[in-house]
Amino acid sequence: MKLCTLVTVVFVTSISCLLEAQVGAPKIGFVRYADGTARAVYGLANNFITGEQIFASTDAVAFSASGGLVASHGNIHLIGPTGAVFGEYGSSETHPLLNIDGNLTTAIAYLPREQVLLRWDGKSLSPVQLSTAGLSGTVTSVDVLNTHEAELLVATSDGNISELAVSLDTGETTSVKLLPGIKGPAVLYHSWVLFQDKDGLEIEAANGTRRTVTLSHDAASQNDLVIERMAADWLHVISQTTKQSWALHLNSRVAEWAELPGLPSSSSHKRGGE
Amino acid sequence: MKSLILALLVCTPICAQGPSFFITDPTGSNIVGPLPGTYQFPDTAQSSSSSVVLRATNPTSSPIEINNIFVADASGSDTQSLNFTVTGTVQDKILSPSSSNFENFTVNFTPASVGAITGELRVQYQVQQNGCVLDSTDPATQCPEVTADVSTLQGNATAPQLVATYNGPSGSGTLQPDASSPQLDFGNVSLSATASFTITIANETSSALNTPAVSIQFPPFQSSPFALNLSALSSTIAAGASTTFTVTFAPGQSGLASATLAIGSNSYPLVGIGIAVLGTVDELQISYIDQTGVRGLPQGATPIDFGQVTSGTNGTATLTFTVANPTTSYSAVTVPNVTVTGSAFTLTAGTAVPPCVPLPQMPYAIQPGGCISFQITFSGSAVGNYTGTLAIGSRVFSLVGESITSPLPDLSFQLDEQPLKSQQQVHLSIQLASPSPVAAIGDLTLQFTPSVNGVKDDPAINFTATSGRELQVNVAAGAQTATFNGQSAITFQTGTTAGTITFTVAFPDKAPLTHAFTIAPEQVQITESSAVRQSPNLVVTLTGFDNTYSVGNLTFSFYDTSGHPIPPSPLTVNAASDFQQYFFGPSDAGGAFSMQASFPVLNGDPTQVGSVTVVLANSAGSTSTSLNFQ
Repeated sequence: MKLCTLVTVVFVTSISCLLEAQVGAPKIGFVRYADGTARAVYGLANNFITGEQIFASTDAVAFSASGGLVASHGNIHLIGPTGAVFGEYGSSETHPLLNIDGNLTTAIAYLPREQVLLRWDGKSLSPVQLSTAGLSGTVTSVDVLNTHEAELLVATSDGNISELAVSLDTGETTSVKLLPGIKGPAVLYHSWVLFQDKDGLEIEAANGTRRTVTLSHDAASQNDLVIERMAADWLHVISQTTKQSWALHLNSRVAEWAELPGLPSSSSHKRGGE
Repeated sequence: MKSLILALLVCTPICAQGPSFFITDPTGSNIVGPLPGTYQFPDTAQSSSSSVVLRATNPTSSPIEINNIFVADASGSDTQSLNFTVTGTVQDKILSPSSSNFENFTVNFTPASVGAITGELRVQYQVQQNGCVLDSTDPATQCPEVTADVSTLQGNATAPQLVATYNGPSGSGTLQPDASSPQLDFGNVSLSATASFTITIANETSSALNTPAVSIQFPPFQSSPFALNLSALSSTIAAGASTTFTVTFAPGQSGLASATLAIGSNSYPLVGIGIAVLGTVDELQISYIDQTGVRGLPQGATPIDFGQVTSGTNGTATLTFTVANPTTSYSAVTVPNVTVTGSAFTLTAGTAVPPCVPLPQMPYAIQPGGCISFQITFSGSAVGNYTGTLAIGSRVFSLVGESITSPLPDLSFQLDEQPLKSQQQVHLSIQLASPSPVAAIGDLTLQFTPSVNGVKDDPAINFTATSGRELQVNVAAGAQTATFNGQSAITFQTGTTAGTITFTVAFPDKAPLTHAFTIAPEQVQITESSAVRQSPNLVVTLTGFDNTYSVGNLTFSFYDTSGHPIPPSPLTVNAASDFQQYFFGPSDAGGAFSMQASFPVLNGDPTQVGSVTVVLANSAGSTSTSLNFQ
């Protein structure tokens, strides 16, 4: 929609302005379903509409408004906002950890078998071999801290969680911080740490305050949840036990939790005027 | 000494010289003991029967041929008893000298008169010894035949307890199970007529007796021309009293018909012949086809069964009838009328069955080779059994149908949010009025009818479990809630379009439960918004929904950082056509939208613009939101 009219905005001097507006369907992000297909999701919270399949077989996905990382049969693809493949990295990794917070330079992948971080350097997905010193445990979350550093959450064998800063230039660990009171696999998300305990999904803010999303008994067992980033402010939460799927909309203004529709049926919806 | 005593115990009087005899179990499988010199049958009613299975073996070292076994009226007599019979194929059998070689036979005690009765079981046999030859016809070599008493049979014949007598087309008398010819012979009966026998069962004992079961045995999946009327038959018969029932022959098809009447353990053949009287409706061949295509030939004696329909579902069962005059007929047959009685049965011409004429005006003459057709529909609204009649001229057939319902208790829907509004995820549960006595599987469906003109659907409205609108739900025996995948709370989305969501749950044999929930039109709802300075532009982004699809005017009021209006605010824009283009365009997102408005600041400092208030108006009212520029 383009609405053209003349507006005079007066503050220091009078100014003529052209009003331009566009209306479209609200886009939310992309979701990997249990059958491995990745699909677009649009609509609103509590009003999700699952779109067409965009990838047939994926092992992991992470998306922001600017693009996404898709792991499929060991290959890691960096996808641009229009769906174009910007970069590709071949590996034998079947369970990579993917994340992208914002623009493509925030795209990062952790390959546990190779102990490698993949980052987008503007031209290609380049590997950074991690130093094994200080990296004892299971990496459960990864994100780009700044141009030269990545941030990892590592779950140790006793269940404690450490936050590691890793140099993207050398692969060396530059700092280690224990996250007190957090157990089991945890995920960093903006300034929150998400983890699962007997009460459900815990969302801990930087100031230590927590919110709890209560889950059904079946889905409340430890380590049941898989969390993937479906958009900048949206997380896809999957119960491996019940196969239920939720979307968590979380930013500084909102915290919404809703069921995500299951795989769509083949029925189509038609409206008048189409 | 011990073996001698044992031999004496188990041997019959002819032990050493001829065959030995033993009593077996009723199946003849196992010996239960030796046949004693005197065998006592249980008391047996006159004309009834009791029996014992016996086994003949050869204890000698030579082959024995048994020529005959019979019951004589006395020891040493060759006259056969009238009260005892021997059945089985024991005659002319050769028993080799081996314990595994034997022959079983049955002795029946069927007293012809009342009182103590005796008989003598006798055997005729030959032993192959001294060079003789069994079965030889040469007197010089044939073995001598011996006739010997085996055992004295005794029995007490009691008076008959129940006596069945008949009275009907073939006369009257006492029913005999072993009568040489059918006693219940209906003879020739017109297809428009019926014939009946009255059967009387009399208790001739001094105490009350239970009435034996009465039934007609006819090949399955066929309509029987014979019918029982047991309405007068009592369940017990007092001492010296009697009870009656009738057997009716009402043929619907011409030709010989037969069946079996069973009274207790006794069986009696029924025979009759259906006769088509020439020139009458008897000549017409009547048949029907049910909804599955199965053809039936109706009989006057057996109701035409329309089966079951589910009460409260407007369910119907329809049979299509054809009435044909055979090509072999000499002349046209006039049908005076076709009528149906019974409130649950409706006669219509229905779909024509070529080459038949669909229910013509009556009377109607059907030419040889011609036919008419019609349909009868059964629709029983309330639970119960329904009856009616079909009359084709003088030929009358009974009609029956049943309206049923499931034992599943009454159902109801419950929502955890009411009234429904757009952009909700609501939990639906299906409650039963009481614990279910049975397990059941049903279909739950969701339908959405938009109230917005030109809109047919909203894709976000579905059950989240499947993104679909149909689920299979289960009710476990004893449960009071239906479940899907073990969950009693079934989540659905209400979408972003005003209208009506209708749920229907249907279980077999139960009227579906339907309930509609309205989503009222509401003002535009903004779920996310932002105002950003992107020099030289001011960008306002609004995300939300309009469930009326009628957004019209947008009003933007800008304020400086001190909160003073910046003239010429407010700025009003009619966005109706642009929103309409979006709502009714290819983007299928219901009433959800995301709008971004850009205001280029051509000659000024965008940082001086502090906030904006946006008012969106639709058919349900106006919504206002204020945003600070970031």
